[in-house]
Amino acid sequence: MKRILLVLLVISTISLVARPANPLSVGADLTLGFYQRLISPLQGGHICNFSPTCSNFSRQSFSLYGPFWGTLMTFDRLERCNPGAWRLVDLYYSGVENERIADPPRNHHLPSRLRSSKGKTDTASVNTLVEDVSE
Amino acid sequence: MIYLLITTLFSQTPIDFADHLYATGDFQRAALEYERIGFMLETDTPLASYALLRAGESLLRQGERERASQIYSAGLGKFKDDEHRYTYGLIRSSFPEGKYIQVDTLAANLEGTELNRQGTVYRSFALAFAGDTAGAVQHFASLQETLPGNAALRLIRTPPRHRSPFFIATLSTVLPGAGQAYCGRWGDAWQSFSVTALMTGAGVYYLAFSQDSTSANTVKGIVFTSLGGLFWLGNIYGAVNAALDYNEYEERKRTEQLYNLMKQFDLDVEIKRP
Repeated sequence: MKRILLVLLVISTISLVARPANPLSVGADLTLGFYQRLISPLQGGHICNFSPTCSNFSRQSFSLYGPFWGTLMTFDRLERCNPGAWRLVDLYYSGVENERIADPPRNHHLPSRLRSSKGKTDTASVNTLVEDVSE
Repeated sequence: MIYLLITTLFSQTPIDFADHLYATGDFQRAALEYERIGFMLETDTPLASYALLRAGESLLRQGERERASQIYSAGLGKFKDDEHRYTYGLIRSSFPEGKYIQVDTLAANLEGTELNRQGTVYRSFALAFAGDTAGAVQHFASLQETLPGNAALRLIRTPPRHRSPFFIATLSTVLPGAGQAYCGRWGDAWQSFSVTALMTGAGVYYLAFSQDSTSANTVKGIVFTSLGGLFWLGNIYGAVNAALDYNEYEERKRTEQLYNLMKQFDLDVEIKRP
């Protein structure tokens, strides 16, 4: 038993050393976790317009893109979370998911070193158009 | 041998059966039959060419563009009389794959043939999608007597309405939400402006104008001002995103309009049985 625990301890230490988490991202994750467990339930369910919800979006942004872009994306999302967003579903968002507007962090424009343009030119729909023409 | 036997024994030939499958919309089986007949005849007879052309057409209708392309390429070197038809088949199988330069080159070979008009249509749209506006305008000009050709020419000549991300970001830097409003996102604009103004205003109030300058008010001032600053930065990031989204939407809309115009052209070619 002690050996197993020792092996697990070594593995977890190596994984932590190999990929050290940014302390700001860890702090943000803890704060958001606290908000989700204790504050969010007090507000009643389904108050966010988006999927993932603003707090989940923020956690994902921090974990995917780090504290700088995570912060910018979080505050941008808070400013976009309003009923007017529903008017833009067909124009700029990727549809509706569980009665909320689908808006995952990966759909946002970021510098190319983080990821390339989200390429909202919907490849699938363009291919359908092409096939319509050729057949 | 079997082919001759069947032909002799029955009035219905295998090609009749393939034609029947094609006519009933069973393109998968029709393609197999035509292909078999086309290669079985192994001569440059008009019937073999007809079978191969129909095989390619059946495959195209099923969306099997690569296989269709192979068949058309095989036929191109084999049947000199139908060369332009095989070329057109290659154009049709290459266009949906986005091989626009290849389409342009192949369509140039159709000039002066009975498929010149169809070739020009494909060539014009291929150049338009490849971003060669000057080339597209040149070829669309020869189609402008048709309604969709004229509309496509006007669309191509009109530059796309783009928003500069730098300009939009500057707008939102000066006045939070202004960039979003310029991109038509009024809800985001209002929320960006109000939340940034509220937080910054509260921060400035606690730091500068509060009667009671206790340390608690200073902390409140710092917190609100920091939040205001973060909302302001988020608003600039959001404005850049709004501009890029707007440009992508405009491009998508333009592409859809072009495809819709392309669909209005009659691009089908009848393959007559010899």
